Amino acid sequence: MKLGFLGATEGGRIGKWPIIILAGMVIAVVAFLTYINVAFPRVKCEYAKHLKSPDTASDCYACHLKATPKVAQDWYESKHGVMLVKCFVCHGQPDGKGSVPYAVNPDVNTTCRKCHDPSIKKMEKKYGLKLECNSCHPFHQNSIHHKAYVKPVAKRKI
Amino acid sequence: MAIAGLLVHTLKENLQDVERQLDSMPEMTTYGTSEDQYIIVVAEAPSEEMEKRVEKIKKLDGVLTIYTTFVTVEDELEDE
Amino acid sequence: MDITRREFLKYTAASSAFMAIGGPLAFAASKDQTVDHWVKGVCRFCGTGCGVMVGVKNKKVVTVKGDPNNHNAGFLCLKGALMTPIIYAKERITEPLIRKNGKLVPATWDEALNLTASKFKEAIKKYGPTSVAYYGSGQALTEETYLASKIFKAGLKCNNVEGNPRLCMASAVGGYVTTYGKDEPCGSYDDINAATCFFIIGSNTSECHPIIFKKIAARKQADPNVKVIVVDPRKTNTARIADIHVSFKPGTDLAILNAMAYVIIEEELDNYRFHSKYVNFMDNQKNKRTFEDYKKFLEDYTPEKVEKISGVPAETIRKIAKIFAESSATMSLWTMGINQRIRGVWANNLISNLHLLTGHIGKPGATPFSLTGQPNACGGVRDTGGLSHLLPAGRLIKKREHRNEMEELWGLPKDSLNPKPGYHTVALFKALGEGKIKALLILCTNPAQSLPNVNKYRKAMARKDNFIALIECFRDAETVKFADVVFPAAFWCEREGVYGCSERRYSLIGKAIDPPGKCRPTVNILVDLAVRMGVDPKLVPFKNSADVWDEWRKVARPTPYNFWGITRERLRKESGIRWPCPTEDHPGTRIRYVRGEDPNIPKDYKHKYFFYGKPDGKAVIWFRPYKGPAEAPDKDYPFVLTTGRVIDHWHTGTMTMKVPELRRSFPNAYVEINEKDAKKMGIQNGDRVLLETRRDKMVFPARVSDVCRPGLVFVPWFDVNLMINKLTKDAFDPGSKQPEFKICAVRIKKV
Repeated sequence: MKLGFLGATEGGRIGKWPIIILAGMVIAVVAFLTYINVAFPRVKCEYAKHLKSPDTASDCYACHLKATPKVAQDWYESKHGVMLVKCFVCHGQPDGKGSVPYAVNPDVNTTCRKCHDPSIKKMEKKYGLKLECNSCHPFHQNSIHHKAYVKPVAKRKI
Repeated sequence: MAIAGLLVHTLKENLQDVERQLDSMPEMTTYGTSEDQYIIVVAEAPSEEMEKRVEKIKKLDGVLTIYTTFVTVEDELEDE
Repeated sequence: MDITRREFLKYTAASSAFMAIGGPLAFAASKDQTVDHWVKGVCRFCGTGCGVMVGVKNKKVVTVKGDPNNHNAGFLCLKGALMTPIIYAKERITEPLIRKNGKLVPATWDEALNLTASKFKEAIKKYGPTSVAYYGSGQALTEETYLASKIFKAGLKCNNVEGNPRLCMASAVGGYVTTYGKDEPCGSYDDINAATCFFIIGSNTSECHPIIFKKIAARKQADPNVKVIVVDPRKTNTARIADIHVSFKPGTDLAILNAMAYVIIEEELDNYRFHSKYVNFMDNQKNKRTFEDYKKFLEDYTPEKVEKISGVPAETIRKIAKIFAESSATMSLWTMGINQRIRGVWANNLISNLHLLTGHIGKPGATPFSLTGQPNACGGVRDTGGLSHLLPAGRLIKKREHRNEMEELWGLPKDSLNPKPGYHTVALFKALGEGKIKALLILCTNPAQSLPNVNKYRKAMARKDNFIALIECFRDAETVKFADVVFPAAFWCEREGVYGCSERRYSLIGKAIDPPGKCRPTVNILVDLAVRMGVDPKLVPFKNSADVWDEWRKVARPTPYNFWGITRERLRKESGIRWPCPTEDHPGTRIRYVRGEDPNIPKDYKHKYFFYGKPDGKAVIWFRPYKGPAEAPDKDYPFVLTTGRVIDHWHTGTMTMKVPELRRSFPNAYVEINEKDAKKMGIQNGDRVLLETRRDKMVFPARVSDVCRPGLVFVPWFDVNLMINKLTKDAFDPGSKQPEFKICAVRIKKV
């Protein structure tokens, strides 16, 4: 017996189990949405903020803490986090309307050099050209957690 | 079939090693080195596999990073 | 052609890779292909004074990066890194404006200057020189402030010369002068690298002096034995690196500092050798006392007694006092939390007391270091004497010898300077409100938003019987609403001049680009205006700021400020030099008051320390009693309101709001409430909360967190639309005349 739409049997009557499963899914979705609205009051779908009015788009951290928790936590615990080098300083803003060019992977020359030029020049002199700083120095890591300010270890030792 | 032109950037002391290893891989063709730290490589692989192959080279000891300078995907080449 | 398609593609691929290294790789633009040249300068914002390199391409500023050779070693905070869009903001005023029929309309320079000069002349003729005034800024160039001060004091015989450092550093000045006899810190940022204990009080260093915070954190990282103590009723980001964060009832810190002194003596950790030789003990009535008297005075400040006053457990007070004293080199850092207080001078004294008691002074890493808020409050206003009771280089108006010195240096007849100090800032604006000031020149500051209890002074500025001329860059600055004439000034790197930062370092802001439209450098505006006002042209023979600098060097030469060796050429070549610097080959001074470090002390001086500001060479430990805030919380207004800054915005936001990222990061002000208090009042994040003080009321969105201690609320003051200074109180320190922005009583209610 080939099951048709919604598990309809040949007679056209809809089977009992698919309805139960479907109903269960609907309830689950409704329950989830209700939970979201209750557990995070006044925090509606934050993701839409990225696309909405430009003046609200800037609290990257608050939203990304939920959207990309690991990166957000990494940043918070890193030197950049302690020093309040906020997301937009390197990444700009997703609508591209800021003064910093929007980049998921910022360009070392235009971005990192604003503050780290002396170190980059030193590295260039010592080791030749290095394109991606974070092949050895993870941008968002370098935890200061627990032991306030443990000296960082570069991912790779040269 | 995808073809990618790659610039493999290695630590100076590992240059020879990495070049040898690349030569031993059938899908990689080396075209020379430069400045004791760069290897010109062309990789061929079925398009779905290309990323994996590049990642494989990245993990070789002494490889700092890989710059992809050219990529093309050609269906006709499947038959050759 | 024999080549197969496959081979062709492979060769293409290979050659692209060859080209990648044959030609310059994108990264190889360490030749900075996007910039024609770099101009050395100083950041426009806080008193850290980071060196910057301004990148110019096709005569436009395209980027800013840190100066690797200045103390910040190339690092910048997010404000400094994003300065570029401010220069090209559409709100830039590019031509003179005159108010006609209530509206500001464009005018020519002659019209604007002549109108202003005539108003000043008229006021002086009818009501005398005390009916005009100048209100300047710790963000104006040193040369601008020196010149304005000279024009008014020497040219117009008017001592009503004030500046916004009165609102920010006056208590630090008072503290240093009463304790050591001379203003300005005796240490420098170099001490951060040698300190083993940091005592940070009344400062959210991580947001208000970010690169100094970075140095402290790096120091702690380098040596895990370094201790950081943060004393603040708010658990700020600064406290993240603290070993101990001490929260206390706002306004009770004077008691805590005295209690720490009590513990230091009780534990016999005071440096008897140092204080018996180099310290005088003086009580609050200026009588000379003894160390035994000091011990008796401190008996009112046992940790147990102070616990009841401050809410800090006695054990904690003992702990921090011991760490302070036992560390080999302790550095204190403080700023507005200590200065903007009803007894800010006393609070400053009490911090110095701890250093004088323990001998933590004049050694690398050991120093009481006052953090200056603005980029040029030190170099510009404090050092050049741009306040109503000062003359250049630490001289005082009320001292006849000092007046005579200046008369000689300025080529004026003897005893011709006005011997009566002028109004201090709050009194100045009060006098404006009473119709006693008829003409006011404001430079580079925004009093219509920055004065405490600002409604009162906005009314004063709005009076029809006074004339306000404003030198300003941005159309949307609140004070523009009250100006009768606006002069368009060249902004930051559009003209050359000096900034002097917290560590006594004078650095040069280079001219990177020409100013837009009809803007002029302020030095030229002031000279032109002065001559038209009838000031003797011989007093203002300056074509540019370099001319003013040379005169100022001469004027400071006979004093301990002596920076004769900091010539313009040296400033251009180097990245800032710390005064005193008597000769051109002198490298600048890291530590003052110590033989061998301070060039003011002869190399063969018989003692190691010499506090030459005091007649007997000794510093003073003052018996300062605890005094609470002017308006403590009570049953009608049970909360404490404190104001402050956030890292993203500078002061009144006229500049940082022009940077899209910073504007969006904090588009508006908010009230920060402790989560326990919020829960009790049913307030959640984002709720509208009414704040009401005895002066005004305003609704803010709530930000609930654990930063403020219970009973305290915090509001940042950058928002022109939610002007928290309408609620603050203009009570001021009777000694320094600095207002108590940090504490007033407020009640809050959810709406």
